[in-house]
Amino acid sequence: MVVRKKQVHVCRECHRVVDGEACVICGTSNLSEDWAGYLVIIDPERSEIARKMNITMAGRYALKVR
Amino acid sequence: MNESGNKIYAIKTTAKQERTVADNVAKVIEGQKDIRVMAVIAPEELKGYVLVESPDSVARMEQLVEQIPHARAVVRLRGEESYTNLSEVEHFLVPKPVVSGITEG
Ligand SMILES: [Zn+2]
Repeated sequence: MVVRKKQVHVCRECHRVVDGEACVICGTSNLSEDWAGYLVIIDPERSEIARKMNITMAGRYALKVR
Repeated sequence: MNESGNKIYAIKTTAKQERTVADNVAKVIEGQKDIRVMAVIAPEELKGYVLVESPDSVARMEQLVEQIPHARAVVRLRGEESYTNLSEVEHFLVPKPVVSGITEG
């Protein structure tokens, strides 16, 4: 078996890290491999960072998507 | 709007393990109730550090660091203080546009 380094994709629309083919939030498959900065939202209701970023769902996100 | 009272702590990490540490903070937090963390950010400009948003004390953050591989120490940011406010790290955040349909009321 060929072992490939798994590329992490993020949603171009909401910046969420996407595990499958499409973003669970947006439903879009408009994904990017070119992103930087990483953000993990654990408690979106109590997080000021989540509020600043307009994030309402816990999960992993990119800070910048190109 | 009331301020949350959350503080921002900087945690020193092993080089290139910033994302792993951010993921592991989320994992460790999930399994317990003593330490509260709302979010973790690993800006690309800040190599070797992650920023943790928490309402808890520096002692709690030190407990957290002990449980996380590749997390080394809570950094003293300015003299006595070990934390800062969100306003001082806001420039690392690039707000994305609100996605229609999932905004909070
Ligand atoms: Zn999305």
